[in-house]
Amino acid sequence: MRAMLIDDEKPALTHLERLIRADGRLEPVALCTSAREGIEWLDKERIDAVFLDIGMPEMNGLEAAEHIQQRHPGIAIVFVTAYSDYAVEAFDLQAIDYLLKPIGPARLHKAIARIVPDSSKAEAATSGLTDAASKTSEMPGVLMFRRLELYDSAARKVHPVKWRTAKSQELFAYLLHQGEQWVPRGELTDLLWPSMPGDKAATHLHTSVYQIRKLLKESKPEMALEYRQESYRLLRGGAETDVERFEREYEELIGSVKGKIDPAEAVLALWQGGYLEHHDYPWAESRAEKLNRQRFRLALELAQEEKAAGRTDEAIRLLTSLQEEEPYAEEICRQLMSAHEFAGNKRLARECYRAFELRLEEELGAEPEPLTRQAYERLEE
Amino acid sequence: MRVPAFSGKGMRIMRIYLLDGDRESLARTARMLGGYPDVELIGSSYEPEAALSEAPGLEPDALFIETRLGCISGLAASERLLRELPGLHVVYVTSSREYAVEAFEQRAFDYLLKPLTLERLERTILRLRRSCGSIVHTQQERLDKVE
Repeated sequence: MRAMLIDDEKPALTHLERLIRADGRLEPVALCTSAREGIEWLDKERIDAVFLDIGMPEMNGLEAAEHIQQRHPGIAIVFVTAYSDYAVEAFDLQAIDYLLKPIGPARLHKAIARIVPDSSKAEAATSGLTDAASKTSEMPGVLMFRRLELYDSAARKVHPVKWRTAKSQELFAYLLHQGEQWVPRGELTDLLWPSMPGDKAATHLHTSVYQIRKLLKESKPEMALEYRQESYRLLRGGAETDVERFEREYEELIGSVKGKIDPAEAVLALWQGGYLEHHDYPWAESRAEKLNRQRFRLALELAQEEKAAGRTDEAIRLLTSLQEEEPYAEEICRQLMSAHEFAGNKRLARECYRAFELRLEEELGAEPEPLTRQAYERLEE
Repeated sequence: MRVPAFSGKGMRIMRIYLLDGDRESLARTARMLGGYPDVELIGSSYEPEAALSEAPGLEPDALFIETRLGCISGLAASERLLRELPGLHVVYVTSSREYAVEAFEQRAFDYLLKPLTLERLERTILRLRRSCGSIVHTQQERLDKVE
C-alpha cells in the first residue's frame, strides 16, 4: 500500500520515511512539505494512507484532513504531531491513529497494523527488505510482551482468545514461560491454587488443561499440551514467542549493532511493553526485569551507532523517548548530551545536563554521578 | 458463540452497554441511544465494579463509557473488559479531553465530548453499524463453515 507523508520539517519527514521503510508494509511514495502540495498529489496519484503533521503554516493538518476526508473518503489518515491537544478533533475526523513525536518503531508498527490489517507476506517480500529484516517483520505466533496474545501470522492480526478463567490463562502463560520443559503437576497446583486442598486443586488443574487443549485445537493446532509422569509441558510445534525471538536476536546483536541498525530497530520493535506486564504475574517479574535491562542496553547501543553513523536526529529521538521511561538513568543522560554535542549543539547538551541535575535534586534529593558531571564540565571547556 | 441478533428488516441489532458515574448524563446518553431502532441498550451502570462483573457475560458489541469513573479510570476499565471481549468497540463519552491520545493508543472506536449532540452521535452510530455489520459477516461465514 502507498503512503504519503506531510510535514513542514524535512528531518521529521525523512525520519518517518525511514521508519516506514524499515517496517516494510507501506511504501512511502510521496514526501510533501506542505498540506497544499500533498492535496495536489492526491488528485493525481492513488494513495492509501496519509501521515499528517498538524502544526504547519498556511494550511494546518486538521484542515488538510477535513479536505482529504471529503475528496478521498477511503484514505486512512494518521496524525503525527508533537502536540497532544488535538486528539479529540482527530477522532472527529475519523483518523486511524494519532502519533506523538518522537515516534518509535514500536508505536509506528501498531499504527501501520491498523492500516494494513491483513497485508500478505508477499508484500513484505517484494518491498525490497533484506532477509533478516523481513524475517523479523513477520510477527511471532505467540506474543508475551505487554500481554499474552496469540497472533495469526497468515491473517496478520491478533487472534481473539476468550479465556474461560483467569487461571487457565495463567496456566498457559506459565507453561510458555517454562519453554518446552516438563513442569510437575504439584508445582502448577501450588502456584495457581495455593490455598486449596490437593484433590480440589487437581480438579481445577484438570479443567484448565482441558480448556487450553480445546483452545489450541481451535486456534493453534500446531501446539500441544502434553501430560506424562505427573508433569505437563507445552509444545510449540516450531512456533517462537516474541520474547524468545527478542532474546535470541539480542544475543546476536548486542555488542555488534554497528552496521546492523535496521535489524536492531526491528528487534526493539518486538518490545510492545514489559514481559506479561498486563497480567501482574509475580513469577514473571524477574524475567521482566531482565528483559527490560536487555532492551535498554540494546537501545543505548543502537543510539550510539546511530550517532556514529551521523544519524544524530534519530539517536536523540530514541534517547529522549528512553529518558521519558527512565528519567534518572545516568547513562541515558550522558549519551543524550553526547548526541547533542555531536549534532553541533552544545547549548542543548548543557540544557540536558541541567534538567537532569534539577530532576535528581528535586525528586530524589541526589546529584549526578561524577562521570556525568565530568561529561558536562568537558562541555564547558 | 452467541448467534447475532437481527431485527425484522434484516438489520443487525447493535448491543450496547453504558457506563457513566454521573446518573444524569447516563440517562441522557441512554435516551439518545434509545432513538435508534437497531440499538439495544443491554445494560447500564454508574458503578464501575458492577459493570466490570456483569458486562462480559452480556457480550456487548459496544461499550459507551466515561473516562472518569472515580476509583478507576475509564481507560483501565475498558482495558479490563477488552481482555475478556477482544472485539468490543469502545466509545468514550466524556467531559474530559485529556485521555484522547491514550484512547488512540488503545484503539478506541470513538471519543465523544459532553454535552453529547445528536449530530455527533449519529456519526458514531453510522460507523458502528458498518463495523458491527462486518463482524456479523465473518460470524456467518464461520457458521456456514460449521454447517
